[in-house]
Amino acid sequence: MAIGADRAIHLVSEEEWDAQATASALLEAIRDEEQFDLLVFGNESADAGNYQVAIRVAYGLGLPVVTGLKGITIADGRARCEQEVAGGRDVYDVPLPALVTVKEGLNLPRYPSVPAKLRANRKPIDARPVTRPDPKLEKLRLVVPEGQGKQAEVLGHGPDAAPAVVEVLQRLGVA
Amino acid sequence: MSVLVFVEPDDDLSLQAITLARSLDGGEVHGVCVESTQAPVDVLHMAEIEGSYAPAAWAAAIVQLTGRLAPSAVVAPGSDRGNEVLAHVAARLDLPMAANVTDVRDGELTRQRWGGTLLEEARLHAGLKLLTAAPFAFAACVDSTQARVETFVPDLTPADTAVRVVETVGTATGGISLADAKVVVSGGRGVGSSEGFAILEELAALLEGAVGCSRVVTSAGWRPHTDQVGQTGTKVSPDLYIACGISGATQHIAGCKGAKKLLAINADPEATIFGHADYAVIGDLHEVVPAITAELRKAQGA
Repeated sequence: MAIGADRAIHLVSEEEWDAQATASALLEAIRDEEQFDLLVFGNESADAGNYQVAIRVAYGLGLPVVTGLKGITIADGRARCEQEVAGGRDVYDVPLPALVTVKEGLNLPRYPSVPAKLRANRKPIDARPVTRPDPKLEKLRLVVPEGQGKQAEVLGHGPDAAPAVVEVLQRLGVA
Repeated sequence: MSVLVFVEPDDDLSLQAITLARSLDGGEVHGVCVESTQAPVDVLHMAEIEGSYAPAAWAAAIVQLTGRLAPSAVVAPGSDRGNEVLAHVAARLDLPMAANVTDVRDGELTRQRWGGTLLEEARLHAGLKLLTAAPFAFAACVDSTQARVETFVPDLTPADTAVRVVETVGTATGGISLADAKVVVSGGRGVGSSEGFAILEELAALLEGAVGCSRVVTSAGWRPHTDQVGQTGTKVSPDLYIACGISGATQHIAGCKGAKKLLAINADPEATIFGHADYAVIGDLHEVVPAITAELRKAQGA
């Protein structure tokens, strides 16, 4: 709230939700709100990485959706969206209202100032408890992949290690 | 029964998705593509959709084909497009979807979390399974099967084609791209400044490699975000990754774990990065890196 939102809706639950249920809950929460011109989501969450919540919400609202933005310009009721692809950027031009998902590198994040944090305390947060449905993608357990905690071969300490490093570079065929 | 795979031209990740599809107990493997290609599947369905990439239209074509073939699973590559198109399919069919799957067995699947540094074992409750194959979790299918090609024209609405690529802008890249480089010399907080990267540039140039960095570096403004290696940056898969002054945060490891070998140079012998490294040099990168460069020049006789 301290970095620029005017108000917030907080869907309160202690449980972990799958992507489909998350999208349904978000959709229910915003369907009857004012008409927003632009809805901004992250492209994927750092933890679950499902790559689908925003797209499901867009379908629910009947809005066009562009994903993975690294650039956006709004003009004349349209959004020009830039997506990074191999060797360049793909450009989309969509009418508003629209839903977009963004990636890191889109802009330089704004950090909250102390006065902004104080003002944020007075902004309304609408907390709504929500009940999780049975997950369709049911998490059973989390496991650490094999191969972590490798034992590195120590080539040396400080600049004296250089000859051993070069030997490795030659052995790997990169030098 | 059959399994349907979304295939893109000249795309190794699509061939990996075919390997996943073939591992499923689903009978014939059918491919679906929009841009003309060939693929080691039994039947390749080519959707005739005019114009550039339009995710909703491509998904509409797959949904229509799914209605006709009634496959047990639809598999897509774990690329940006693969995940996007399959998420559209999932939204249209209101079915669950598992992204970045690394294994499927006995009604359970394993998928990547935290950029692959943690795995989730899960169960997908759906008759039709929607899966994307995690990049490099499966070998590319090298089967020499020549698919029988069938074309079809999907029914599309104006809404399906409303979002499409209208232009592709090339970016001027100087030198070797991070994603394709055989050697990546990467710097973290330990480099200390923007100017500090000069010694990394020098070593990278000598090895015909690219320079990368960790998130701390881009946040500090020492390097552009395009140089960032990590979960939210570029994911690299070089023959050798040289991590200089990088502590080894999970998000960074997610971007460089595709490297065949990792050499870590760090002054702190307790740094997390050493737990992910094949080779270690304990020392100040400001002394070690120039020493390697000098030794390399000597070896190359320059």
